[in-house]
Amino acid sequence: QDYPKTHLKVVGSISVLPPYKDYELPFWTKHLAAKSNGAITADAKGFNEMGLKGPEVLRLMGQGVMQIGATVMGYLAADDPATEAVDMAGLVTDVETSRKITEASKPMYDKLFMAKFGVKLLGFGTYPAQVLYCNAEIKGLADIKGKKVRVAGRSQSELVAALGGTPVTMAFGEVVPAMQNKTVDCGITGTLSGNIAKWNEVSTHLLGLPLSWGQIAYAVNAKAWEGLDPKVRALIAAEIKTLEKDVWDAAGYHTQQGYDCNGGLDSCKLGTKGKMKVVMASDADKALLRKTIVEVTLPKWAARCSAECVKDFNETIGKAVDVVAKK
Amino acid sequence: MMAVSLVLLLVFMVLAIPVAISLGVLGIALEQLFSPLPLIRAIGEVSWSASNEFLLVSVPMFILLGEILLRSGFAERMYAALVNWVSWLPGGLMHSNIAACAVFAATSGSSVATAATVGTVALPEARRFGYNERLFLGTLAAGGTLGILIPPSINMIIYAVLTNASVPKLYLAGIVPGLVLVLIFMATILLLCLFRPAWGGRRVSASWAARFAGLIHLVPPLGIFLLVVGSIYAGVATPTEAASLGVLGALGLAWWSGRLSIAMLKEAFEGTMKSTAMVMLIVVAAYFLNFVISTIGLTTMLTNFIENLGLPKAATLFAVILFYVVLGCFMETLSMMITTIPIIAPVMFKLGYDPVWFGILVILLIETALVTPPVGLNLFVVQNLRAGGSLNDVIVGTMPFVVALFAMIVVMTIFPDLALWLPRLLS
Amino acid sequence: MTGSRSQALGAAGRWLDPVLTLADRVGLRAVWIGGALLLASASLVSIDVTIRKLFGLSVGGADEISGYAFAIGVAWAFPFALLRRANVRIDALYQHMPARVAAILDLVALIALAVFVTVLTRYAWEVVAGSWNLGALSNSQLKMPLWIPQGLWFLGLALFFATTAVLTLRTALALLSGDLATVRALAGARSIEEEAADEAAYGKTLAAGASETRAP
Ligand code: NA
Ligand code: NA
Repeated sequence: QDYPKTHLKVVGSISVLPPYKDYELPFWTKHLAAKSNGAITADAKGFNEMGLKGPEVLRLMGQGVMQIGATVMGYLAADDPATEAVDMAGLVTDVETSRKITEASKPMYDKLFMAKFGVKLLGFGTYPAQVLYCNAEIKGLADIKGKKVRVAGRSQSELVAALGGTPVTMAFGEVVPAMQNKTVDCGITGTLSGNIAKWNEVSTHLLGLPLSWGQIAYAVNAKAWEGLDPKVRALIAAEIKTLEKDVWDAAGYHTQQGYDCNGGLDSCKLGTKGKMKVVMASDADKALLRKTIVEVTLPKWAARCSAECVKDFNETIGKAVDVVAKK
Repeated sequence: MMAVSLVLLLVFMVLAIPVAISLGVLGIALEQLFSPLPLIRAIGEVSWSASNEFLLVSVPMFILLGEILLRSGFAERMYAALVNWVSWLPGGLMHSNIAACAVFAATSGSSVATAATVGTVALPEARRFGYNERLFLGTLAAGGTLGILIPPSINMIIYAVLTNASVPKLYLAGIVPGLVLVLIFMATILLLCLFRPAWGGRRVSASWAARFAGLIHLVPPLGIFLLVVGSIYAGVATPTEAASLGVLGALGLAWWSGRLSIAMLKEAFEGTMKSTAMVMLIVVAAYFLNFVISTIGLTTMLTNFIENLGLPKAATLFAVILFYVVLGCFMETLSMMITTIPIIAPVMFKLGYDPVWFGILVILLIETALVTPPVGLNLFVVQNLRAGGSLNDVIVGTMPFVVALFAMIVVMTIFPDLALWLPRLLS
Repeated sequence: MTGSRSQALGAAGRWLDPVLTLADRVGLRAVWIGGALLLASASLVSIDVTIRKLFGLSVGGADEISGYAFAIGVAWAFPFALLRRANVRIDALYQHMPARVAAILDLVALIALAVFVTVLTRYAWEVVAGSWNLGALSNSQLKMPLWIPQGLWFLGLALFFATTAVLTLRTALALLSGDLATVRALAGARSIEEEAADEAAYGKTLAAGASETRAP
């Protein structure tokens, strides 16, 4: 098939992390070119390389400042609480279910993005599981009680508070010295990215219980999308599935690699071997988490989201994980 | 594209358009010339996110801390006490400027904050003791850069995040080069004042009794120092929060000394907010410019250039150093790190350079960038602490220390163990 | 240019002087408020740090609030910094220019500033309007309606815009009427004489602050 010469301007997710480095960048700049006999070219950059923090990406995309963009769903909570739903802290504790609910949430978010920002959703990637790193002994989730935990965003904050911990917010770069000096006892970040950012050097225990994921939304300005040749649109819409598959497969592998590396196992390939005690979650931990979400954080979230948003949640994400939010 | 940017920037500078405005207008011009997308519309979002960045809050906090200490008379007394101890050295108080910067650096993660605080405390003394004002200003701008080499260091944390290097190792690696750089700075002052004794200020002879009696005046600043550093190492506060604690501590001291008044606070606010506004207007404009030049592909063009040279190991290192020195003249340092390190660091690691060592080298290059004109944040901060005068004075006075920084970079390249010895010893 | 015309321009310019005086007074008060905000947020952060250490509690959002205070305080300080000519200029060539050329450069600098500030203020408004329309609440437990801090931040920028506009107009009128001294006083890079005068005033403040312990 022949494609018209098309040049895409792409803003990807955080440039130093695997989803962008290993998958998005080659997808936009090489994979599409190969599939279109060189007709589709692109230049890509991570939003952080442009000095952006993520929450502003959808707004800028809507204003036409960016054509194709990516941002982390959890960063968008300020502009609409519905964006919290897919990455509600503690809701999903394995990558397969996360993949399932993310897939299920697509109609809900496509509608939301278009209505609020004039942006079309193309697909979702994800970061590996985010777990609890502590510079203190923890045997299970209940041990969060009384601990100072560095959180990112409202959803994690509410979960930690509900479990009896003190949520502390600070810049990502301040976490390592703060954990070392025990200004905070714990922090939540990716199993592998925590290893890459050396959190394992300043903490002793890791709780093997995913609390957040960090889904990455790939989206495009609606007008720019309409301006593309239909054949190009069809190709991108079809091929983005391979990007999604690659990123999600990697997330599963990277989550396990993060445990292996932090725990110092020989199977560690992608990080540096640490000396952390990896405490795998028990059934009691999972039960406590479920109870906390159903009784505390989900109702709180439902209270700040619109009736339509709660309905959408129940029909998509809620159905997939068997919880019901009440307005 | 590169040529146009450089020419425009040069024209703006020659026309003496304020630095912040030059950067902002350059961003607007490059957008109009080279971008099919309306990048200009991002200026609001970019400015807001730069403006409420919690890490930057420590900048006005440390300036305010210094202003309050200064206006309650503590700083002057501390300096009077220090003069008794160090004024016999050729260069006198300028040595204590460097030492004070080094000590303060151990509490502050930022070079700008270090220069601002020590500068506010020290600057009024330059005139009073008849120092060569330019050189005196230079010691403050250059001494301030120690803030990011001696731990804690915001820039090291950013480097670590960008390159997967270890923060604790970087912190350890910064200590020895930090002390060596202190010695090199002091040697620079010593040499200059041996050649030009008049630059070294009026010598004050003091009895040993006066010297020891004066030590009491070092206690209040020491208390603040302990509050700020102690709270960090005791695990009470993050470095940013510690700055806030320091402000309250200084306020407490002002109250205790009976100098706290509304009028005094108003003056402290005027000084603090004026300096901070000036720095932040540059940061906001630089963030916008950075957004534009990375979007239109200028940054990639620059970095590809280095990657594609295909030079041997030592020549690549030299090219990278040169690249940072040149770029550092024009770019705000945080944006510079964020845009270039992810591309340049892997090239260096592939060539076999140690990530921790390269990190310290980058910090030294960032320090250099902070004091090289036309865009050198430390130069601007020191300039704004003055009651007036030409920026040229600060630039000229800092030049010997730029040379000293180059010397330090050479020393680091020849003796990588300066950085690597301590982390190895303690691992 | 005829004498009468230049006189008329000069008169028009002088008519703006009360506006500039007002701008200066507003700018000064904005700086006091900005400083007070900063001090208040330092207190809040200190309380947060203390109760976190002692009781494991958190005020909740102290860092977030200090971020807002910082953004607002800085924006409100922009007009004052402009009127006190605090913006850094590379004056290596400028200071050797003849008075007339320097005055023209002063006006060019102000016009460039006006362009930048116009664009900045225009799109800062988009940020506030966006947050208002989306009903944006900060991504934290604080759930701050973002239009409030952003609106106050925008107010500072709007004040900066207005101050820049008046100052540019006043400077242009002064330049056109040939009143170079006024151009210099309003928009020039600070001169040696001004420095000396200010230094003296500064010295007096210091002397007053530390007289009782000053060494003989
Ligand atoms: Na430091
Ligand atoms: Na520079």
